[in-house]
Amino acid sequence: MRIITKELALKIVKKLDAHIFSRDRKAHDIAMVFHDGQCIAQFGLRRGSEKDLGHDHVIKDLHLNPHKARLLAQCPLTRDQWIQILRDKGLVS
Amino acid sequence: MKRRNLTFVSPLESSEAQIASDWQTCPRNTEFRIEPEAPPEDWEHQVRQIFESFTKTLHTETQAELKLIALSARVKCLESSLEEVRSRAAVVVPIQSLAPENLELAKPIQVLLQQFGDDCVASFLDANINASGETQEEALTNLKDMIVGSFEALSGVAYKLGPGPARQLAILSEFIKKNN
Repeated sequence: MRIITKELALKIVKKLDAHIFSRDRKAHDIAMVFHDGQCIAQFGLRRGSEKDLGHDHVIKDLHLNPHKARLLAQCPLTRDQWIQILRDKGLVS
Repeated sequence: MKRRNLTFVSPLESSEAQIASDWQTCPRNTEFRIEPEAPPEDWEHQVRQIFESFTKTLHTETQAELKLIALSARVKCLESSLEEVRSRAAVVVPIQSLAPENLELAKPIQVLLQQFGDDCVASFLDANINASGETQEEALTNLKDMIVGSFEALSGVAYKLGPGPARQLAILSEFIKKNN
């Protein structure tokens, strides 16, 4: 079972207000999350129309555990709470 | 006309009547009478012994059955743990080149390939760059693409990187050199 599908990854992109860097004829686009003018995280979005395309790599990219990644995609975990998690890990100045 | 006096006798009643008449005609034979034996003097002791032996056997069998149940539960638990370990078995493989990209590797990148549910996730742990694929090969190919993509994207905004992405770019710069 996939924890993060492409559909959920796109929800995370929307929720974190990530900027997408499109790359022509490549397997991934790059989503970059900015906070206070700084890029604080980046992750790959696989090309493909399948909604359930596996994106479990996003869990590690966002420094979360599978449960929290799911919560982030499905709403209970807010952008601010996620930034606080990164701050606690010293990943946001 | 002469009236006939008819009585209805059911087959059941008829057979009962037959049995009753047979019973009466059967000669009584008292020779075969079975007299009940007098119980042995120590019958209480014998009953107690039988009961104790029965309890002992029951106890032993119950204990054996409980042990078996506990063992089979333990085996099931171990089997599921083994399955999880197998499914999460990690493999480390090196990436020697980033071909066909126009970038060269200064040194090989060690990649961790890990089964993650239905998919495989390839990770360049030092730089925390990850990619998924349905197979190990696909995940590895996707990781190569992500390494190149991350390097390009982070280089493009190098002046505004937070601690995490700045570290990622620094590590990537150690491994990647641009071809002229």
